[in-house]
Amino acid sequence: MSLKAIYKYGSPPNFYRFAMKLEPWCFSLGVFLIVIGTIGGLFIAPKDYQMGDAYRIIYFHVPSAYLSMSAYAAMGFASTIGIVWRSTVAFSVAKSIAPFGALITALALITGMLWGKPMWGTAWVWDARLTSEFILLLLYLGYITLHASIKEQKRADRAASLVAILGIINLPIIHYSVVWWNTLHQASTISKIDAPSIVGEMLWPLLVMIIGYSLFFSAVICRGGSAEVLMREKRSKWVKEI
Amino acid sequence: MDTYFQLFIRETKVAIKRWTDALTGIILFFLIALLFPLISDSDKDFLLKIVGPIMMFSAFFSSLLSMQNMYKPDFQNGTIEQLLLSKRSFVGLILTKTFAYWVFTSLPLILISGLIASIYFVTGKAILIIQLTLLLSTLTMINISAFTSAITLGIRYPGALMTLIITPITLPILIFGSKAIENSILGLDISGPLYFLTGMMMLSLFLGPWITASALKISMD
Amino acid sequence: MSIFDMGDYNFYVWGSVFLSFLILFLTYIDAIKKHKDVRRVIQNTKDSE
Repeated sequence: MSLKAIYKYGSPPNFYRFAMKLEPWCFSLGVFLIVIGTIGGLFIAPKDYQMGDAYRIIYFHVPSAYLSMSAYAAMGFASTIGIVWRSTVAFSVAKSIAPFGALITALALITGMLWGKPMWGTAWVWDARLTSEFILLLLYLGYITLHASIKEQKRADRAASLVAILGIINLPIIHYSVVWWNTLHQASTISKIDAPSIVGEMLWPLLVMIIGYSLFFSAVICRGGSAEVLMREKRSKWVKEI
Repeated sequence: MDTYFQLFIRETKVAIKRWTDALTGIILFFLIALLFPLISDSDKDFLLKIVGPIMMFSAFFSSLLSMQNMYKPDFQNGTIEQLLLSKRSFVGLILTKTFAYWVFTSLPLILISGLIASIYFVTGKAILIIQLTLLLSTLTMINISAFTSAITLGIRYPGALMTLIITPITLPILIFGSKAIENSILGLDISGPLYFLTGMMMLSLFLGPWITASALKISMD
Repeated sequence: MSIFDMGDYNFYVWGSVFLSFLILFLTYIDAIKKHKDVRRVIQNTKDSE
């Protein structure tokens, strides 16, 4: 990617126009797919012969867990672009991802607990995936608090982005070490329970939900990110012309 | 080389002047390690089981407490700005400063950790392994603390925020460090965790000063 | 059997459904609110000039 392209498409007015055009499409399609996926998952998909109806929580747990990680990856990516090219747009996008990511991580944890209670008989196990999800939440909270506690906008952007990049470097190491710790501590407990292999008619609502969540996420980022861009460009000419 | 040495000498003088900082770390390390047998159970097997986590935890905790003063005084009296203007590479100067800080806050902990280990009924080679583990892990931790205290320089009460940033990043080191100690007491193979700790130490020594320098530059302007 | 009856696990399933929708709704409302606030601030500065 050449520098010129980044300046052209990453310039605040262009991003604003693009995001505002994209947002209604993402939002309506995302909501539509989420509704379809919900109906499919709750009512159409067959009952699991082992777990009964409770497995249907998976249609809400897996998309949020998936999104919590990819949102962090997106935040780290945007932060890297922001640090390297000093791009206002990238900083705005990274900042608007953070609260959404923290909420969706909390959602993944809570739905995971609601899944664990009937399935495993306990809401929390010291399982590798649960623990790294919790640490992911801490990383998000660190980003948000750091950004909120530095008054000056530009410095806050760059400092918080540095933390996000460090988190991206560290996330695989954290995950690996937690997995390693977990295998040594409880080799043969309930942590070995995996999601059972899913067959076609159970799978399609899940995929629809994941795509719907991602589109919804894009819509939120378009809204929040463009609001952040406007905030940072308050004094410039193009903002006053809108 | 000269500038680096002068900076080290200067840091030594500062550390001697502010000897309470180093002492606070040592006292905290000692007290945490002493409290656990008193409030839980002084059974020998139990203590041998928990000595690894407690060593790592108290080292982490005392570094957490002492790092608040890592850059703040120098930032306020303008030393950091002087370093930034120096002809020598800023990253190298930061590495020197971090190393000096490590010598005066973490090295004493490593030295007295042998004493604490013997309170926990650890004997023989395992004591040396504990000291080696602490050596490797404190060198990593000090770089992470340096980064965290540099990034939170402009904030008035950074305590809780520092903890929030530092805990997820330090977690792998705590896990592998306590695993190395536990394995050495049980007589198992310790090369795996130690290799990991060494790798993390190398990574943090190369990457840490560089990231800390950019964090300081962000906090300065 | 009613379609809203998920057997013994009714509470868990519908609890997670409700929470998921609540959080999605909240994040979107929050983004819209931020956007509106910024627009209003810009409008105010325009008017005061």
